[in-house]
Amino acid sequence: MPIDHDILVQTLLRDRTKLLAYILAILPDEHVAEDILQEVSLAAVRKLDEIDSAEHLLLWLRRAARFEALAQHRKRGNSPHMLDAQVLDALESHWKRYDAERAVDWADTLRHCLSKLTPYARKLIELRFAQGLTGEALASAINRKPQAAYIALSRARRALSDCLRREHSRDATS
Amino acid sequence: MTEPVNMTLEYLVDRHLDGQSTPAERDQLNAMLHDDSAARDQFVRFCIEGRVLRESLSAAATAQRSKLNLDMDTTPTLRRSRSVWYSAAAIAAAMIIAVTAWLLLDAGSKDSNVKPAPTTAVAMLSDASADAVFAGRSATVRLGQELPIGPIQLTAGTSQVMFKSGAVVDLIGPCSFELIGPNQGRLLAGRLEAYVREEAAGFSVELPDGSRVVDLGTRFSIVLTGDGIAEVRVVEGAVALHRESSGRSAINLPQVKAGQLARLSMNSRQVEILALSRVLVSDSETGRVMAFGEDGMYCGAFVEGDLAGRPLSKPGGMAQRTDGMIYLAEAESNGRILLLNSQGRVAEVVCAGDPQIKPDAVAIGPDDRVYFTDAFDSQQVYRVEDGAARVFIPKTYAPSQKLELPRGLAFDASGALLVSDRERSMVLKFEGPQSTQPGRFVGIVARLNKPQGLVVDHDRVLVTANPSRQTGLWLISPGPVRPAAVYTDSSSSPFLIDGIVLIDGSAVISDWRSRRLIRIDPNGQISDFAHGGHGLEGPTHLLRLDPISKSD
Repeated sequence: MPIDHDILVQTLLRDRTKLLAYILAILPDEHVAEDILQEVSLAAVRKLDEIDSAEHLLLWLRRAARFEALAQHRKRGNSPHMLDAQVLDALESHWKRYDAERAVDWADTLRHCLSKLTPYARKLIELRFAQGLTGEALASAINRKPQAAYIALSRARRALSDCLRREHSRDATS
Repeated sequence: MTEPVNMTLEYLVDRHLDGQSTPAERDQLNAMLHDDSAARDQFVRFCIEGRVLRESLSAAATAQRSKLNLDMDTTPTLRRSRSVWYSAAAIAAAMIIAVTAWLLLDAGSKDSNVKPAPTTAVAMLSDASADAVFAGRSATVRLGQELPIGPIQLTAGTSQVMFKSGAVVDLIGPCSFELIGPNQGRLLAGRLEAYVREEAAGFSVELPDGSRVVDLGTRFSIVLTGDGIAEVRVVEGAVALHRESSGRSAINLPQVKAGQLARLSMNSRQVEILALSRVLVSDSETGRVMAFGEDGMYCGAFVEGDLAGRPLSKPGGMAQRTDGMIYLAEAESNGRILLLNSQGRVAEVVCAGDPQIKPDAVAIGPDDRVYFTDAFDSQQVYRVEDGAARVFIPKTYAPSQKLELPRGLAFDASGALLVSDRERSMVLKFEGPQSTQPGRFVGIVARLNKPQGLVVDHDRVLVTANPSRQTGLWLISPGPVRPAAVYTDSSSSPFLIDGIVLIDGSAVISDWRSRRLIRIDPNGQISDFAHGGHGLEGPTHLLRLDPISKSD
């Protein structure tokens, strides 16, 4: 039995961030990713009678997003920033593991974990994610070479990710 | 050119997501993900974390830069009870998609003049807090569900209803509300907050006695108290009040404007319109000063964006003159002291500032001059003279006596200057400007752990402090030091108080660490003071602003 539109609206509200993350993993371009998500959302409205459960909906949305991302990739002249199809296939089951997670809950925990970082690590995270600096721009903002900037950033990301994991396991056991 | 070898997964993922990876890096990432399930899991986590960070932090940065208040944006925002930090922009974007889908799916008319059938959807449940509990016919309602004409019983938590017209109503439980049309509702009990976009102007809320509150393009709240009073508070714009007379003809009551509160008695049918006091809060993280009603309702940004040619940066202490004008200190932008009018507009840059001085607390002296502390850099007290900051109390204020973290400043009833030194855990007294030896150290008034905000209330002097497991307000003069409104928490670290105001005997404090405003009543009970989608990121100093206008 097809799902009703309430489920679609709920899913689009709750899972927008994760869907964008999914699209960006395939095609790392924020503007294109937003366009793809809108296209896929509207396609889901039109195809609602073909989708029979909330789980199926998420799967359907991801599949449609991947298809659209590949189409955009081809349209843009097969830019090199693309993972292998086999790897994308292998990743699918991992994305599914996060279907029950809500991005808004992650946001709360990330905020807490950001406060635990060293000032330098926090600055890097802010330059990268608040100001959107990448590559040379990020490197020059901290007066380092690009590779050194990325290494420092990756350490900060790791510390943040570890904290997040700890907090989630604490939540799960409390 | 050297290529990185054996780079970490984090490095490779960041490079990939930035579109910066070289062919060698991409090959390495492909190989890692191909062979290692744990790496694939970490990759997915990184992608989601990165996206959450981007949406959360970029929204905060935008709020800092933008002249627009995110919560005042023309896009309806979906406020989350758990995290105001989460990107309002992202949520608004999600709403656009969701509402687009909703409208595409809906065949119903948006014309509010057409009376819909009882089963036709007139609204959608666009948000509900994690602790929201619905009852009665609405017991099974779910996020995103269309809502037909009928009651919504919210027994706990908060929820948000978006009408077909675009009007957005937050219900704060316990609340009994009824949808009666695509642009109309009825409040039967409890409280609501409405945000009505221009295209939904004319949105109306009926009250139990048949009175109607008609929006004129605004933001307002209604509270039904237990004693038959409806309080209509207008945050922005204006609302019209209509009441039917005994002959059933409508009586138009005066409009209620922003900053006013109308009290409608259901029993005596009297209407009273009052001007409201506001509480201003400096938010050091977003570079805004926000306004709240005395009851904690968020009233929008008081100051934000460019002030006198520079963006407001790290706003701090505030003080109100007897003519209603307000001094505002900035810790950055060279440490300016600005004079604002009651609408938050700059009347004058009182002190252009000095890069070596970062103003913190501000007070107005008996000589009508502005005094401020620099708690973090020079650790001195300054007086503004001829547009420049002059040292009034030097760091070494007496032999072998140094200020270490002077965070509180006030003049007592006799004109003496009181300074709280948070680091040295003492409140110090100095001769005031009108004495024969201005600035001379008089003595230690009180010793408390981490004193900060000082308040002078007639002849009483109060200070906030953080003794072990306690937080709140102590009376330090007259008489011995004793608690005035103190909260004891045996389970966690106490709040880190930055600012304080007094409201009806309670202390309202800002806790920078938890980003909350907290009311501590004289019995030591605490409650959240601020509500509404204020998005506070770093609340510091507070100021209670007296009413700016009289009732019509």
